[in-house]
This record gives sequence, structure tokens and C-alpha cells, in this order.
Amino acid sequence: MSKDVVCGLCPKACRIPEGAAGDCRVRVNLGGKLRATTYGRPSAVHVDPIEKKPLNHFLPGSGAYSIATAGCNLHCRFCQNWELSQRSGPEMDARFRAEPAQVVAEAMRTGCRSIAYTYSDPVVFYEYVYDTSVLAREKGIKNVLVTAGYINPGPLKRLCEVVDASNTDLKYFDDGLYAKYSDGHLKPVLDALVLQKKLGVWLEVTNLIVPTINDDMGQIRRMVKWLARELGPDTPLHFSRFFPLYQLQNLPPTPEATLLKAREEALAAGLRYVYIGNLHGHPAESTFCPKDGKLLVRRVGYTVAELHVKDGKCEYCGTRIAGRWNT
Amino acid sequence: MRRTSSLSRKEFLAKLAVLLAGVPLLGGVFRTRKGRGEAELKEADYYAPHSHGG
Repeated sequence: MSKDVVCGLCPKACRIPEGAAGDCRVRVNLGGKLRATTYGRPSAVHVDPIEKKPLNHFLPGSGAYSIATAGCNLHCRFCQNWELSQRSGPEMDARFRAEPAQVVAEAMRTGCRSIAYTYSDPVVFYEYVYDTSVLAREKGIKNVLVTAGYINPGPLKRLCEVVDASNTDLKYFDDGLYAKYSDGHLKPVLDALVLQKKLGVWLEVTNLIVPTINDDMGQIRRMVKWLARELGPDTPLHFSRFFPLYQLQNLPPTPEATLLKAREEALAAGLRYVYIGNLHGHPAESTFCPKDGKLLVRRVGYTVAELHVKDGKCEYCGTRIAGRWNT
Repeated sequence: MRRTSSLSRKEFLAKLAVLLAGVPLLGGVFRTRKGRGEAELKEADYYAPHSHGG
């Protein structure tokens, strides 16, 4: 009798024979039971500034205890963390153990205000994220997802009960590009964005602009209009600069002019907070008041150099600035 | 004419044996943990037995 199982975590719905792993490499069918093989086995642990996630409107200047395990359910040809995401647990030789309680304790010990589930994709270490988040909440530590949002609505809904903030990638606004370069599809990501917003998770969106692949301004225009309409103008958007890595080393880094043009399109579509990432020292790293245009948060790289948001409002004109500034 | 890069039958079989020997090693990563570690691997949420119905 077959002991194949079907994973219901993400839209891929992998049918997994006994002894094999799903497309993510880390969820393995052992004797007819699906095992989360990287649970409690992080392959990367760092204390990062929250700005690195990037989250620009969530506890600025605070530390995020950042963990990741091996594996990912997407396979982006330009992945910036491919050495982690495109491997299984054993390939990473993940001998380091950290149970959820240890992660929370370390986050507290290092003075972090949040735990970020990041680098690869928290979707594939779902149970580890969930259990850690529950404990973190009890200790007053916030939980942050950095994800491609490729997850089914049921599991995401449950996760949103314990997650405070999310930076979700919207990699392309085109289903064909999702299929060709990431082995995914567009609609589940759009659904995940809307669901997180609806459930009250503080949401910021990142779009990595890869030259010749998703830098078409028509596509970017459609994307930013959708974001403004469906998620609202207060949703921060980060255009991130691509650097040639993994399977797309033949492409150049994203030109600054492309990033600036994309930002113009997003502002024209009504988005109020549009950032450029991976372009160190650029003014578009900073936050400006949408009403009086004054500089509210001056960032240099991941460092907050000035902060003029007080009680969630512009210090100069009192306009409410969307975000979770001091929760 | 000088022969280039062709393997003798013996060399070919030796290389094939090495390659084949590697396959169960790769496939057996989790099996090797089974005896001592399977029980400690967390059971995943959100999965179901595959149904052959239809």
C-alpha cells in the first residue's frame, strides 16, 4: 500500500513518496508521516538591524534576532541566499540545534525586540516559526516574516495570529515570469499579500528589479497600481537593487536610473512610502512626510541616523505616519 | 591515430561502480538517521495521505 503523502502547506501541493522530500527539499515523508526536518536546526543565526529585512516602518533602529533553516519552495534563478535556500538540511550539515525556547531566550539576551524568520523562506520551516512565535509573543518579543509569500491561505491565516510584521517579496507582476524564473505562480503571492494585510500584519513589500527580466516599466506600473489599490497607499514598497548571483551572473547590477524610474512610477500611483534598497547612502533609503515632505527617518544603509516620528506622527506637522513605531 | 579520452572497459566499469555506490548514499541520508533520529524529527502540519480515489 502506498504511503505517499500530499503536502498542503504551499500551492505546489507536492505528492511525496516515502523516503523523498517535497520540492522545498526539507519536508520529508518518512514512513507515511511528513517530517519537518529542519525544525530546531537553524543554518543561519544573526542579530540584524530591522532595516535589513527590510522593514522601515516597524520598530526602527531595533535589533531583529534572525534565523533561517535550509530549503525554499521557490527556486529563483537570482536568489541572493541560494547557498542556504537551495539546499536540504543534511546538505547544510545543520548540526546546530536551537529549540524555540532557546531562540526566544537568545533574542532576549541580545536585546532584540523581534525575531525575524528570514534569509531562506519561513514557509518551509513553518512549524518552527509558529512554535517560536507563540513563545516569543508570551515574552513580549515581536515576530517578523521575510517571505516570498508562497503559502496556502489556511496555514498563513494561522501564522498571522502570531506574526506582527512581514516583508513579502512580489518578485514580478507576471505569472509567466514567476513560472520561468522562480518555479511559482503570481496569484498565490497576491492572495498572501491581501490576506496578511486583512489580518492586521504590518506589511511592507519588496520588489527586486533584475535587469532585462522584470525591469519593464509597463509591468512595474501595473504592479504599483495594484499595490496602491489592493493594499492601500500606506503600504511601504522597497525596490531592491539586484547583484549578479547564482544562475544570473551574466546580468549587470540594476542601474540606479531604473530604480529611480520605478520609484517615480510608484509615487505617481499614489504609494506614499517608496524606498530603494541596496543602493547605499541614497536619499531614497529615508522616510519623508507625505504631507510636508520633511525628512522623518534618515537612514544610511541599515543605520537610523535621525528619527522625527513621535507617537506615530510627523514631528513637524502632526500627520500620522503609517507603521508600528513603538509597539 | 592517437586515441583521446576513451576508457577501457575495466576503467568504465570501475567508474560506474563508484557512481552507483554514491546513489544509495545520497538516497540514504534520512534513512541513516532513521534508527537514531526519526522520532525526534518534528511531524509537519498540513499534509494528508495521498488518495488513490477518483
